[in-house]
Amino acid sequence: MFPSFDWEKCIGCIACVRTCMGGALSYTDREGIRTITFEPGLCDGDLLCLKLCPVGAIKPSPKSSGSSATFPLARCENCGKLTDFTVKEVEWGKERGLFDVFLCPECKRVESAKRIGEGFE
Amino acid sequence: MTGILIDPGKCIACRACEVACEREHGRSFITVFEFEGSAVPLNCRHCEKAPCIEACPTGALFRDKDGAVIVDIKKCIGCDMCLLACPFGIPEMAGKIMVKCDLCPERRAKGKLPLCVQTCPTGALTYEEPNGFSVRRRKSYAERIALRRAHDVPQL
Repeated sequence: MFPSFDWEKCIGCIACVRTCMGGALSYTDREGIRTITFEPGLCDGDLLCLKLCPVGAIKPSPKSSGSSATFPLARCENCGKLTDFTVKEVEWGKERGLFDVFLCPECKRVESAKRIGEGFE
Repeated sequence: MTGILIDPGKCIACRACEVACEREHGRSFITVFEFEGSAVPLNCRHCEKAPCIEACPTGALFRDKDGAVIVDIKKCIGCDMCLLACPFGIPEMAGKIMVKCDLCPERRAKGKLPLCVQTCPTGALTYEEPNGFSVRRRKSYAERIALRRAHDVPQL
């Protein structure tokens, strides 16, 4: 069996790319756009990607066909820096109540340290 | 659950904790942030309801017997989902996997304190039960009020 991707459902987190042994899945981040590509010729059909997908965007399929999708990357809502997270990932995080304001890791640290410090002034 | 608790009122921003952590782990998982009038050392909070553990798709993040949130490097695929979920921005990438504060498991196994706590010269970092910390904090505040009253200083 091969993976078949529902790119509408996919949030572009690349958990699948990171676990893909044969290199069938790959990604690039260029000029604020993430592109994820599936190259079926290199797929060994272990379906590890399917098991890991946090949003269930991958289904098993007897046929293999190449596909790809693009995802705009999100900017930190504090400093405006381009992050390694996609806009869809951020929306997913907000829907799940993980955060209300999306900050880059650097701003998150400074802001949380500041909050802790303010309690002692 | 026992953890590292921060008292920014005592931190003098000497960064000895950062050096100690780097000596133990090869890189520092604690950072001292300086602001006007205060300094705050920040490391992984090892949250009771850890969003990183819930967000990890491979189950690479787990809690050890002392309550420390640990990365299983064999399971981590470096997908960053824990970093998206962490409210403190703690997880860091090291090559293809995520790394973070582990409360010094080798030291804990020998009954020793995490090295940053051991090293902190002012007691701004302590390794203890949160409830013990609350009681101590309450007591020190009560002492301050009592002292002000004894010396007839206007109340805060």
